[in-house]
Amino acid sequence: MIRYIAASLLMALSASAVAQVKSAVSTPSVSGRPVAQRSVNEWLQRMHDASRQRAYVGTFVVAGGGRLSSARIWHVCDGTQQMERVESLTGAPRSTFRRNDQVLTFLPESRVVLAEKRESLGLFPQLLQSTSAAIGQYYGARELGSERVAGFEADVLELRPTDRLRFGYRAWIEKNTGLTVKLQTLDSQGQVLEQAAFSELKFEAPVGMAQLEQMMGRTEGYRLEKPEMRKTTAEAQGWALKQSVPGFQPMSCYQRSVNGSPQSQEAQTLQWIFSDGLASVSLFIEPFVAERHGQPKNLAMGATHTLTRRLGAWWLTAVGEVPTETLVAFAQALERQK
Amino acid sequence: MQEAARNHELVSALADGQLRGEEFARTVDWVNETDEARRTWHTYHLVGDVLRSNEPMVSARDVHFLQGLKLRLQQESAPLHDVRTTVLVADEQDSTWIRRPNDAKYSSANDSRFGWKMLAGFASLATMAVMVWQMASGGGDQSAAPQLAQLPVQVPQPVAGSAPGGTGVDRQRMIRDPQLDALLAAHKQFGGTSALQGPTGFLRNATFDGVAP
Repeated sequence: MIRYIAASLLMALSASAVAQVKSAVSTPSVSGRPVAQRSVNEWLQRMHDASRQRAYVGTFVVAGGGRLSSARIWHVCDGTQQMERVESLTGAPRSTFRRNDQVLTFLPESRVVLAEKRESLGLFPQLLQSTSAAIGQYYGARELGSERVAGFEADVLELRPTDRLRFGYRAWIEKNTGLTVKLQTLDSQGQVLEQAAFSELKFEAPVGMAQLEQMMGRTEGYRLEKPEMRKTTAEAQGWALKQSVPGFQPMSCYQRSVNGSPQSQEAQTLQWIFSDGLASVSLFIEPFVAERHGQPKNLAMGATHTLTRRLGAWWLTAVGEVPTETLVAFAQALERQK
Repeated sequence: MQEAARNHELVSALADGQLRGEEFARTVDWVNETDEARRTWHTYHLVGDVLRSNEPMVSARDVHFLQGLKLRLQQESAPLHDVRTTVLVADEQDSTWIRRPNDAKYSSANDSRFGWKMLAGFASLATMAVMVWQMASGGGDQSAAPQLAQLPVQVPQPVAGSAPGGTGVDRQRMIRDPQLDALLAAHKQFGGTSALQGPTGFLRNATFDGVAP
């Protein structure tokens, strides 16, 4: 365990070192053969296909917001089905299993298993079609050569935002498989806000899909919790944006329960989700309760920013992997129509 | 260089309780006999402490580092103002990446105790990363290590006091407020609403323990 952590610390340090200099200087060293020029969409499709076609086992490290989190990953697929097991190595013990868009998170300390359907994971091809214009307009792509990550040669792709309403990204894409082996989120100065990377990775590891399914099915002794969600529209709930936030399109809207909210509030939380193709923002709107909601705040952890505001009788919590300015723009545009 | 790396590997395995038999005995001897091995042993334990707790046992060196860091953060900042979207869009394609705009400086100086603890944790990690790097580089390329060690340590955006109506940033509530944690978890459920982060985003969200799932 400590070995993984020491390796990730070294990674964190190299991210720090990279981030000290401006982007022109911090470009990873170019080595090896030049990569063929691909469009942003071709890159994104390639990255996505890798997870559908390749099996792998590795250690994944996320550094950001002053925190370092690590997990062991098992990923198997057969071309149509994907299964994944994520075993946390830091923080509270938990095991997450995913079969396509079905996700179970086992929390052994509380003997609870959370069941969720992550519809967004099935959105990919449509997402790319519906937001490709935004991706092209609001991000510039640049291939930066190649670099080794976790022992694998990777193409380095930089996605630089064309305005200040979104962060930039740098992705390391394994040359043979197209798997994203490292991903950095960068602020407006090109400094690393968050980094997710494999510190160790093996392809074609002998893990059977049946074995993972069996583990995913072992829920005896656990209490099953499932968030209640009902699809709706912002319009039907009386909400609108008086002006759109450039590049961000509404993706979906739910009336949902939120763990941790009082029973009376649970059914009344609205989640309105936006995406520019690469970054996503959730607007949570619930009735304002003075003793619960307090003062407006702006918060940040790694690349995830949060803003809370009172809107008359309502309380807004905006969350997204975007700059605070973007959340402010959403808060200023949101209006009640009923 | 390779031998040094192997030795550090053994000390790490010892710290994890993974060594047995002759390898265990040899590594314990090495830790007892050399200062370098003892420093490595200490570092790995500090790394473990930091990851297990928000209140790591920091050394005098870390404290000195922290003081410098706090000072630097305090010097950096001014609060943000409200945002006009039109100002933020389109006109600075090349410069935004490189130049921090005048009206978009993050403020610092969050005196809240927990926030500083968060920073203390990270600062210690960063300090140890430098130490680990220096040690790992000890027997090899001597020119590379000092150069890296002299670089100021990157800290993600400085912590700021809360500013109603403004855009100052305060980290501490991110992990303290269970309701907010629940909303963050709900947002994570849709973390795949990103063409880039589809598969990677799921792993990122499942791995990141900044927020309880």
